[in-house]
Formats: sequence, structure tokens, C-alpha cells
Amino acid sequence: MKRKLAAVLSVSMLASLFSGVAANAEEEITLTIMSCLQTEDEAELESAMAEAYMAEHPNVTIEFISVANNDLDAQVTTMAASNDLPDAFFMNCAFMSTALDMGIVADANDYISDEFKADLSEEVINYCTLNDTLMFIPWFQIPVALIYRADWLEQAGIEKIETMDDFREAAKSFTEISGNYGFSMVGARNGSGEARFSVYAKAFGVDEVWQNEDGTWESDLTSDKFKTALQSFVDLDLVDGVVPAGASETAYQDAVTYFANEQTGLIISGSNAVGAILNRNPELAGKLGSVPIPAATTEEGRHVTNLQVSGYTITTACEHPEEMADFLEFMAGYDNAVSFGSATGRIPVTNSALADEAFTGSEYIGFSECMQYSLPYSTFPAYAEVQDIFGEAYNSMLTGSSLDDAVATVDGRITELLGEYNQ
Amino acid sequence: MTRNKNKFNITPYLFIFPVFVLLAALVIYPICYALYLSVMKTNLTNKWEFVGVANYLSIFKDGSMVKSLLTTFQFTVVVVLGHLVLGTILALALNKKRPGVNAFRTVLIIPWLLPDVVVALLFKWIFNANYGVFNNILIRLGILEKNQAWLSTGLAFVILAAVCIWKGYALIMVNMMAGFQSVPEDVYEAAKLDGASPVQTFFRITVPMIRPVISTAVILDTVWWFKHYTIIKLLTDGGPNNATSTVSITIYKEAFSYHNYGVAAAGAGVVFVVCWLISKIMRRVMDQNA
Repeated sequence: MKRKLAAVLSVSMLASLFSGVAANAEEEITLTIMSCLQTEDEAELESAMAEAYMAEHPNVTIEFISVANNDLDAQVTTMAASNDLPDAFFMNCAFMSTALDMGIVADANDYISDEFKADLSEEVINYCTLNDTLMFIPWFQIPVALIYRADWLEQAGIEKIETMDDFREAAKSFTEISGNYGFSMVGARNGSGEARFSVYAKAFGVDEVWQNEDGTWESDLTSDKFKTALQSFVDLDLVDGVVPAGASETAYQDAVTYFANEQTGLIISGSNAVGAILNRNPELAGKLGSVPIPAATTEEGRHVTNLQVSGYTITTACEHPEEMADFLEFMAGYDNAVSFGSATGRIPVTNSALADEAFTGSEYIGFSECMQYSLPYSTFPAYAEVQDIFGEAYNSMLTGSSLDDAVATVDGRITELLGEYNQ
Repeated sequence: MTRNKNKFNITPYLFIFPVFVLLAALVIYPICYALYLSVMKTNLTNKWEFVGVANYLSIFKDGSMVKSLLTTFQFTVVVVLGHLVLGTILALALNKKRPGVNAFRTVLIIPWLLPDVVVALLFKWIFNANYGVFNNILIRLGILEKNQAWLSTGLAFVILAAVCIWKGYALIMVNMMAGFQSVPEDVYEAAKLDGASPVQTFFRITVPMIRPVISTAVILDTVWWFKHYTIIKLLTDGGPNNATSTVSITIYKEAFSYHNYGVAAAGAGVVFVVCWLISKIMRRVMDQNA
């Protein structure tokens, strides 16, 4: 009797074990993703990709949490503090070192497929890597270049915008042609304005903050080349008058609107601005061109760009990182990346998709060309504060401060900040 | 008799228990947590280093926080005085029995009912340098020749204060109206018989009799605007050149832009103490005058 009972129990245990395996194969998986694109024009496209993935993987449910980009870092921080992290969140470059320091980032190297990684350029991988950790699975990039009105450039008789002098000349000519202004300056003191000024200053040879051989942090923000860059930038408004009124308040959306309304013909921006401009004014199709950020005509002048590679970070709270990585690779795959990129101007990260003819038009040439000039993103832990320091500098000069006053403030703040991290 | 006195009665404690739990969860715990954060250097997840009063010292060493505290005092004084003057004048006007006064009461309370975000965006558009209706009107009237970026000039503080006065005068107005109606008619009649002028009647009779109402409304208004954030953030974001950077803006930036949570919590602690002191001092002054 006992043997029979033991046999029945063994059989039933085996059966339950196999049924468990079968259940695992069909395990219902929910992936929560905190997305700032859900609050922007790209929401439908992103949701459509999720729908397509869920159709292919019926056991997977993808739920987006919408958060405005400006609130994203704060939201992630508060959720991390309350142990309530989503499975993935959109990574802002300025938040990378803080997120790594908080221990909330799962190294994507552990989950990314070899095939996908082999299709990424070295620049893209370097951009997403911090202290040997692949911070996020790259989805698209929006390298910063100069977008211009090609028809106005021809009308002005300027062959190409290669240097900052050419740029200034074009801005003046475009002001005459448009009867309004020439350059859509984003002069607001926020991350968007600061990122643009950052590449402008770098074109003068400025390195905002770097670590020397003995590990000490140093900065060019008190150097003469930074002063030259700063003065040159604000002079576009204060001296040349080629910038719409209220430059210190002008945010990205305003700047794009001025361009789309044909009130200006130049804007320093990521490639997504091409999509935004054409969405607002489709009549500008075929009239846009782009070039790498002009090099300053100083000794250390150079072309430069910030690749602004973007994607989702898998968090340490994610219980299904492999599935999450699979979905993120699906979004960055050839078909999705090309259709998403052509609709939004957010350029693919994979070499195969980048070679598609959708990104070879005149409006994208500058963005393709500028990739060779990309610099890795700063690893300084308080880089966001460094950005705010030079943001305060150009913003205060646009509203009446002198160069000496602005630089004195920069000097005080950056010295204190670096001192803190050099202790 | 003695036995009854010593007998523990649990009933009152049961009545206050739910409120005590709510207060503990929503008020006491956040205050204690903020105090705890203010003595730590932390990233809120895996780094918790006790630094004592270093964060408080850094606030007073750092010029920007002190400057923003001064800006906040300036802003609060201007806005609360504006509310008091405008609210009192309008309350006096609406306290008369005239045709249509109810309609005016309804209309004048509208700014108070509008969300801060709506008010900020509304005025941001009105004062927009390129599309704003304010520039448009001034250019049409021939006062301006070209567009002016009002929120980037020295007038930004004045504009911000004006917007906040417009947004919040109704709190004082409503309280004043309620106060006026609580003064018995016969007191006014007696004053009239004694030959008091309307101004004398207002300052010698009405104001002293409604002092508790004024006191409460002013304290509430002061504390409210001292820690105000939304309109300032959306309208000027602390600019131009930090001219409107109040302590709330600085604390938010410290926490969520620079990720210095300890310093931000210390700043919040200072604001808490300042608000508490304001209410204490104002209450004492008002009580002494009464």
C-alpha cells in the first residue's frame, strides 16, 4: 500500500513539475517602461512598435509610464528611493553618472545580442558606456549639427558654412532675406539650451571638464577660449541682432517654430529638429540642408558634435532583462529604426539602418558627416551642474551681465564644484 | 469618586486615533525624513554618509541660497502687501448693497479659482517677446517700436509679483468681506452719530474688530507665497540672471538638477523654520495690537 502511495505521489509530483515547465514556457510577462516619448509627438510610433512586439510575443505585455523629459530624472530618483523602479527608463545623458552611482542600472552588456552589438559603431558604444557598463541599449541618435535654409544660402551667395565666420555671415544674410532674423538661438537656461551651447563652445576648443593623468578634475570654463566662445555666442543677439527677441527665454520648441515659420533660417540642433520643422511646415521639404557645427577660426577651433545617443536603461529591478533587451533590440532593428527615423529625424544607431537611403538626403548630410567629430559624453559625476554653470553664464549675459561678471560667477562655481570632487 | 477619576477612558483616544495616524503619515513622517536627509550626504539609494550640520553650513556659505532667501522675502512682502491692499479695496467695494454686486463677486474670484499652471502659461503668452499680445498692443499704440522681451529685463520681478498679486488677492478679499459682515450694523450707526468719517470708521472700528480675520488671512497668505513654486518656475524659471530665483526654485534645482538631496533637505528645513517664525511673530504682533 505504501509503495503504491509512493508511486502515485511520485507520478503526481513529476506531472506537476512538467506542468510547471509548460506554464513557464507560457509565462505571462509584463514589462514596465518609463518613457518621455509618450508625452511627445513620437508616442504613437513608439506604442505601435510595442503593439507589434506584443503581437509577435503574446505572453508579453508592455506598459508605458508617461513622464515629461524634464521630470524624468526626478521621477526615476524618487521611484528608486521608494524601491518602485520600472523595468526600464529612458536615459538622459546628463543622468548617466548619477544613475550608475545610485546602483540602479543593469549592465546591458549582459543582455545585448552579439549580432546587434556588431552592427553598432564604436562611437555609439563608447557613448553609451560608462565605467565599462553599457548604460542603455541604444535606440536612436540625434547628433548635433547646424540646420540651414539651403535656398536662402544659395540666394545669399554663400557656398558652404564651414567656419564660425561663415555662420555669422549667413545669419546676417538670412536676417535680411527673411526680413526678421537669421538664427534660432535656444538661449533658455535649461538642458536643451545648455547642450547646444556646449557644442558651440567646444567648437572653440573648450573642454568643459576633464580628468588629468593623476585623476584630478580640471575645466576650461575659466580659460580665454571659453570667454571667446561665450562672447561670440551672445554677440549674435546683442551685437549682430540676428536672433529673435527674448533669446534668454527661447526654448527648443520656440526656436523650431521660428524656423518653421520662416522667421529664421539657421538652428543648432539634433537631427530630430528636421522632423519637427517639416511636421510644422511641410512646404520646407527639399529646402533644408545641414552641416557639421562650424569650427571657430581660432587656433584650437574644430568641428565637433554630441551624438546624443538615446535609449532605454534596464534597471536592476527588472525581473525579465532578457525579454526587455529583446524588445529594445526589436525597436532599434532595421525596419523599425528606418521608419521611426524617417518620420521623426531620430537617426538609427545601427550601421545597416543608417546606410538606408532615407538618411542620405541633403537635410541629413551634415548629421552623417558630423559623426566623425563626436566626443564621448562627460564622465564627471556632477556634469549636470557644470552645464548649469555655463547655462547661467550665457543666460545672464543675454539679459545684461558683462563678460567679466559672468565669468567671475563661473569661476566661483566651477572652482568650488571641482574642489569638492578633487578632495 | 476617586476610583472614577483614576479610571482610564479609552474613548477619546479612539476618536483621535485615525487623525493621529493620518498626521503621522502625511506630516510628521515627511518632516522627520527631511530632517534626517538634511544631515546626510546621499543619493537616496546606496550612499548614506552622515555629515552633521555641514549641509546647513553650506547653505549659508553658498551665496546663491542666501540670495534666493532674500529674493523670497522681497517677493513675499510685495505679493502679500499687494493682496492686502487690492483685496481690502475690492472687499470694501463689494460690501455695498448695489445692483450687480453679486456678479462682480463671482467674476473677481475667478483668478483664485484658476490653477497656477494655467495662470503662468497665460501670462507667459501675454508677455511673449515675439507673439505676445502685450507687445502687440504697445506697438499699435505707438509706445513701442519693436518687440520687447519683458521677462528677460529688470521688470521680470515686477511682472511676476503683479501676476501673483492678480492670482491671489481673492483670498484676502473673501476673508475681508466675511469679516466686514461680522461687524454689527449698530456699531457703525453709533460711529456715524458720533461724527466719525468713513476713513476713521474703517481704521478705528472695522479694522480692530476684524483683526483676527486679517491676522489669519495674512499669515496663511504669507506662508503660501513664501514657499510658492509653480508660477515662478513656469513664468521666469528664476531668471533673468536669478532675479526671481526664490528659495523653492533653488531647492528644487539643488535636489533634482544637481542631485544634492542633503543640501536641498537642509534648505527645506530652513524654509520650514522661517515659515514657523513668520507665523509666530505675526501672531504675536497681531495679538499685542488687539
